[in-house]
Amino acid sequence: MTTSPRFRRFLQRAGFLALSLGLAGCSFTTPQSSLDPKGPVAREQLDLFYLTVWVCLGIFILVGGALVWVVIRFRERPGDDAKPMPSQGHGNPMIEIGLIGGSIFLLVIIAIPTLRAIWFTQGLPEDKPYYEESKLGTYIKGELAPEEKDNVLEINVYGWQWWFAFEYPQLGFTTANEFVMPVGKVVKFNLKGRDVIHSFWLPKLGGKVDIIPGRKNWLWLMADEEGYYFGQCAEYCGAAHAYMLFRAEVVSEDKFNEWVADYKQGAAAPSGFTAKPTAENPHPTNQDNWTAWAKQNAQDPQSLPQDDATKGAQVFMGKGKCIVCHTIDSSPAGGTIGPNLTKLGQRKSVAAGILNHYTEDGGLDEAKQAENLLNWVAYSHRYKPDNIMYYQMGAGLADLQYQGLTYADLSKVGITDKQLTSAGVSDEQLAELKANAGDPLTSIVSDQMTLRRIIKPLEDNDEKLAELAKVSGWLSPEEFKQVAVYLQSLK
Amino acid sequence: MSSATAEVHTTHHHAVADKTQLAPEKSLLGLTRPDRHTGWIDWVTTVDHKKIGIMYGGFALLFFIIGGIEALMIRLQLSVPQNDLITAQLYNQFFTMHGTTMIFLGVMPLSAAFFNFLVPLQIGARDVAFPRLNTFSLWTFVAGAFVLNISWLFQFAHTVGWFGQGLVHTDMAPSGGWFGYAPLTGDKYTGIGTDFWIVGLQILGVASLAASFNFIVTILNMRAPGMTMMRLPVFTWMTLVTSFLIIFAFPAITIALAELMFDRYFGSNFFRTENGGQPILWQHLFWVFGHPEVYILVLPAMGIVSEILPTFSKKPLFGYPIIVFSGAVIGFLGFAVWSHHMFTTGLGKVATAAFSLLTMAIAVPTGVKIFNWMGTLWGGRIKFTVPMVFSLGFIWMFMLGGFTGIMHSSAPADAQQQDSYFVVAHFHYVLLGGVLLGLLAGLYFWVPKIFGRMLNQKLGYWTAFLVIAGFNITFFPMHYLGLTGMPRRTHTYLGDMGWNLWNLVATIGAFILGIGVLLCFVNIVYTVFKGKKCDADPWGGRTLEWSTPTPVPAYNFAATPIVQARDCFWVHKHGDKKIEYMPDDGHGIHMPSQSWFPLLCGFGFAFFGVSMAMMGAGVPYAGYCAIAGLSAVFLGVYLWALEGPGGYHLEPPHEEGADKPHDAPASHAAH
Repeated sequence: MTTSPRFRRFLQRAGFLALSLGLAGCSFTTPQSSLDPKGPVAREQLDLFYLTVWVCLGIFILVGGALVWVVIRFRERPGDDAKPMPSQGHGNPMIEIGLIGGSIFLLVIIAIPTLRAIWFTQGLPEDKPYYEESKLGTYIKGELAPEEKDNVLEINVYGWQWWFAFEYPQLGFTTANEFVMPVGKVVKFNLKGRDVIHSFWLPKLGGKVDIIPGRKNWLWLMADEEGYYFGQCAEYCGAAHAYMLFRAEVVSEDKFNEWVADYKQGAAAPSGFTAKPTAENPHPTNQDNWTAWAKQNAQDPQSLPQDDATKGAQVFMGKGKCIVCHTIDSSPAGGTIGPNLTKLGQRKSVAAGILNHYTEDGGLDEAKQAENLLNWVAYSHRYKPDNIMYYQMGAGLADLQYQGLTYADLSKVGITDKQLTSAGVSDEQLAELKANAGDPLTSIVSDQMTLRRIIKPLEDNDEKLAELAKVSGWLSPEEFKQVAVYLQSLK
Repeated sequence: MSSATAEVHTTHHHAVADKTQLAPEKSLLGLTRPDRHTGWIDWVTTVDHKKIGIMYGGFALLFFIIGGIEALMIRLQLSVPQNDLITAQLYNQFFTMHGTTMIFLGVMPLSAAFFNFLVPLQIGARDVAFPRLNTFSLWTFVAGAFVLNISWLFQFAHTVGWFGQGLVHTDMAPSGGWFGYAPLTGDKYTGIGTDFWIVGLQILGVASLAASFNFIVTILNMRAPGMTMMRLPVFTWMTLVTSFLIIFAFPAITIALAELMFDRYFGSNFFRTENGGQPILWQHLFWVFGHPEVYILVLPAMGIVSEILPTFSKKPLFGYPIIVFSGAVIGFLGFAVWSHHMFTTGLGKVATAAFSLLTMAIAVPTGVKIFNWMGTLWGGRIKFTVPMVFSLGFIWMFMLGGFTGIMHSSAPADAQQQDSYFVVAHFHYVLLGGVLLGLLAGLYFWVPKIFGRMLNQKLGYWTAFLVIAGFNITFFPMHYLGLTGMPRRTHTYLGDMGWNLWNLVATIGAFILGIGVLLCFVNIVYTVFKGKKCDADPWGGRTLEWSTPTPVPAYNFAATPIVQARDCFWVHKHGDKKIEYMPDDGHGIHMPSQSWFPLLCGFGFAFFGVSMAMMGAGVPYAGYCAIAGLSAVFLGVYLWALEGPGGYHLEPPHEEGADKPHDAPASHAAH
């Protein structure tokens, strides 16, 4: 192959471009980088990786260099045709044996540290000095079962399509998508699969382990530095796999104790509502406050403070049916299908990490948080395909859109007969609908898929959705905003 | 078929020079055999391994284009963060079908094209052992490919609103990944796309198994006199090893797919976790197949390169026995490393350690091959023809893929790499930088033999440059992306993760690569019809296939050669051991009859596959249609058994030397 000067110049420029891109574009400290380890597990794994890199680089230089030399040295030159054929050697057993031996030696260099690292990363580090300080009895201030005092902190990780639940079995509460762990302490994660296979991966603290239904997988991690760490599901788990992120907030021992104590209190009742102290209960707990709130809300909702947070809580507990799936500790909300929302207002992201409101300095951007919460509750289907909050059969938000809707209402929101039939409404059903224009749609058409298809054309149109909210069970923009304000108040 | 039985049924034939001169002949069923036809009837009923090879190649190129378009859609979607060019579901379908298409419909059939065309020629045989079974393999493959890809039509129809009423899942094209992990591929989470995938792969498995048995029998039993096992060309050796790998590996996925099918259709509980099924069982079964599958893809390319390097170094292969033996060892060890795909599934320390060490061990025979290829080049006279450039590219890229493979073998390090873009980079270096470059080398090397026309060499160099440059621009940055935490199989990513620049670069590289591959295919299509004619041995070949005239006659060898040495044609030209030929028996050359029935089997399989997916969708009577389709397959096999072997005799032309090897000094391609 001839290389013209122009071609050579092109190659030089391309090389220069590649080099400058490489230098400019390769930061090793990006949020999810395994090249920036912040704990013993990740560091062990990275050291091993670099060892393999050095060994391979050594082989590459030797073998690659030899290959280049051979190809240049033994290339055909003009006039070679006249010369006799090259020597027709068939091989040399000594060279072969030598090279095989050399290869095996190089692999042993990798194999021994590999074995050591397997035993280190896959067993609890009971022989390490930091293990002693990681026992719960040494740092947990609150109440603790005596048999747990010598155990390390355990977090049960549940993988769901497409979010994570984090349960603290020893401390007795559950959070979701963002969890908090203390710095410098070994933490054991028990991975519990619930639907399809997911994988728990927090690159700066350690490699991944799969969350498989029916298997008791676990891993241990420890963080050396406080910070906000980024993790992500690493096993393909369906449509929104890319949107299954999670975060770890690593805090000091004191802050962790504070956070635990705060979490155990549960959520306060909306807008600071408190039950009146009585003689037998002079210091009402959050749960007492909620009980009183719920009672008053049932008897006379208007008497509660008429601010957005309270109204949002009323929608959350009532019309919006959010409590079917979500738990807010201490409150009447006790659903277990969706994420626990007890301290949602503290989390720096919603929707399993896709809508973010963390700031550069590790803080929380309140304005962004309000916007994210509103977008998520009102339009989750636009952010996360097939998410069950919106689509779940029988319990999804989408079902509110046609609830209470009558045939007479349909034309008001711009749905035609033709759209009804193409959504799967039979001719007889259509006739019945027309005859009973004031009856709820659902009393005549019962198939949920059909009902959803009827509403489908409105889903991407904000104005149509607002109109729909006037005649159906769908929430108005105002109500969604109130829910978002309430959720933000869950600090 | 054995020649003894053939004699019995063919005594009434007179040898003819050309099969169009045959009298119409009825089979034992009373139907007229399609032997006399030319044109499309000849092509769809042919039992000629060369025509079958060409058709395998044609279909493979078609599916390379389809799989390539899917790849470019993936790269377009990922070019910028939070892109909404395509939906998450469509993206998932693209990566599922990209992997499935490239592996089962691109690389495997292109390898099969080379197996078919070359193996009988390289061993001095007139055809494969079972010519009609060979046709059956081809049409069964086409049926499987049809079933997999017809799902796109259903997806399209659903998107424009033709069907889908009452369906819970809207994925009509497969979306469970090429690895199809349960329980995601269970009926609870995915729709009929998975049914198309299961049945399509099952049909493709039948095709691969039938072809493999055929090649094993051919290579073991049909070798010309003197063609001992240790004189076999390395490509034929690798075909043999690959065929054994297929017959041992495919049963595992056959079982896995059958179990998944039973879960989906008939409510069994192999993988359904809600009833205590074990999804890990799928992973073991899949990777017991899936890892040998990697070697099923790689070994043929290694065989190709092992033919090309000696040719253009003018030296025999360095360490032939060791290359052959290491190929077999790779094949054997390939069955002992499957769990390295499962390092993160909680195998436990001892199993993790064992699979770690075994995986490292497989680097030894692989490294041995690279050393021996270098030994072949050493002291040679290296000519940089297009196939040679691709072969050198193969060694280089495959070596890089091998290095990242060693990195993966260290299980704790792999915990960070598994399911990240680092893995995507690794296996594309092996499968694209390795296998595809090897196959392109093979195309540039053997297309002159297959069609008697020389591919445009200048375009060939451009292809090599664009493919190798585009490939590295696409996949090298993925090492970085993976190490900085980008998981694979994600349809998008957030903009502040530091992945934006290299994703964009990778997308640009993918288009450069795409242009390169397209250029190659345009070159091939143009050459087949309009290319410059070349003689029978344009490269100075070493093995028997170059001793035949071009285009190769239907019977390959007018007289069966008697092989005297390894690289016998090279030795014939340059050494002291000339190829001799078996004496003519005066009866002409016995040719196998063509048959419609393998094609009927193919139609039966296609109908069966689509009906099964429709049954999954709840279409009425689809189950009966599936039974009808399968019945058509069995009917085809039954009728082909009853029609009798048939056969006819061809009289080779008698001009002196027309069928003898060309003794003229090897002339080389003009460039």
